[in-house]
Amino acid sequence: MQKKLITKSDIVFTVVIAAAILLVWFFTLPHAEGKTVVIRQNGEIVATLPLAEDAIYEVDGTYRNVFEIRGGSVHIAETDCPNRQCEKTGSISRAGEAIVCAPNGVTATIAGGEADVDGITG
Amino acid sequence: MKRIFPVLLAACCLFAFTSCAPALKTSEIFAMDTFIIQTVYTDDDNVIRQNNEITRRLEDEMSRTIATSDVCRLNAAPGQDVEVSDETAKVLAVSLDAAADTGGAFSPALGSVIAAWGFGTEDMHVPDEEALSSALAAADYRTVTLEGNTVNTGGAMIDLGGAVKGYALDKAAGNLKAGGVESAIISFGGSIYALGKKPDGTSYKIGIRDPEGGENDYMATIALDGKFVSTSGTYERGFTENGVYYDHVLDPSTGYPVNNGLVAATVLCDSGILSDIYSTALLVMGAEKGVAFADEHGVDVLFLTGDKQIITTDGFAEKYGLEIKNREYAMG
Repeated sequence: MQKKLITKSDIVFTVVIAAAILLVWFFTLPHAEGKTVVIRQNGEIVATLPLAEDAIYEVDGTYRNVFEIRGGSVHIAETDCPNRQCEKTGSISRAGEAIVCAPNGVTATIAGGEADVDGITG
Repeated sequence: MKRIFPVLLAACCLFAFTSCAPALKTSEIFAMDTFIIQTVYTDDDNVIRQNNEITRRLEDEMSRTIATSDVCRLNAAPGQDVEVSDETAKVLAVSLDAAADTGGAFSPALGSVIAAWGFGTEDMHVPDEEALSSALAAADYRTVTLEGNTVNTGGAMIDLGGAVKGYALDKAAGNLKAGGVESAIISFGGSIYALGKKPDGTSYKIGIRDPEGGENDYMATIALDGKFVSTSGTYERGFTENGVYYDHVLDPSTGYPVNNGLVAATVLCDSGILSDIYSTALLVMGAEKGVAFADEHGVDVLFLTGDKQIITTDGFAEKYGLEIKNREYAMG
């Protein structure tokens, strides 16, 4: 009798292994999380806060930046930096948006979710 | 032996699903008076760190405010021969060539004029005419000589602020490629380089800042793939005195902020330093001359006028997939 190259049991075996791999792959995927605001000072992350929870976060440095998370967006509630550019930026909530306080070396960037653009030139 | 096929198949599946897509790594540092933001797909931890080191090294060499920088040493020794680093010499050489090429619309020797206005300091003000005309008289790039690494400013004050970020971007881009990176986007204060496509296969998408909006607002988007983009705008780093707004983009021929109806120039080309330099030069030149210059030099430009007209080089919209997001703007 001529041997079949692939038998039924081979197919079952393959399907089982493939299914097992798919399962492992699925559970190790990074799960989509809610949006967060990532606050950095001099390049180092100092806080990662969920946008869904109202909160106040203060960064001290050469100057002071007080971030307020309210109703799913974040803004500078208070600052003593000289140009107040960070305050003028207003509220941010979309992925990729950022509040920048150059005098204090502080940034707050929205992470999570799909950003509309990958960068802004200007 | 007969299970060789299924096992091979299973192995293939394993590789397919766990294929080693490089990890996403990000970095944000403050240098060169701006934010240096990197998003890089790589498994090599060194690439981003090296880029940050390159940036800080170039800042140390060419900053106008770090006393030990080549630029500060040059400005402290007017009329004397000063040895500078290879990189400072390179940036100065490209800048001087570009100054001649743009008919002086860009100048690396505007330091005295910038200082007269106080741009980059907390004391920005309109200089009195006498102070400005003497500052302008001292701001001739043609007095600067460069031989090898020896520079003599001839009394002009050097400022490489309009070129060094673009040069750093060139260096960082080279480092990404040398490190085998296939997908990355790096932004040096709004001058951006995108390498390859995103892992999902789409091009990196760049917003062009809306001059009337905030820092996160853009009026249009373009796709960027393997090119450098840089924008100069009159809306940045200016000040208001007696109800009049003065922007930081100075016309080297008058010493005053540009006032030609344009509010921004976005330049795309294959070189970081030239995109940086040309964005300033073309904004100073004005739309008509600027488009002609861009055509001649094989670069692309998008101008925004104060009355929300968009003026570009031919075929810009198709080439970069321009999508206008703010409908107040229209192709002029």
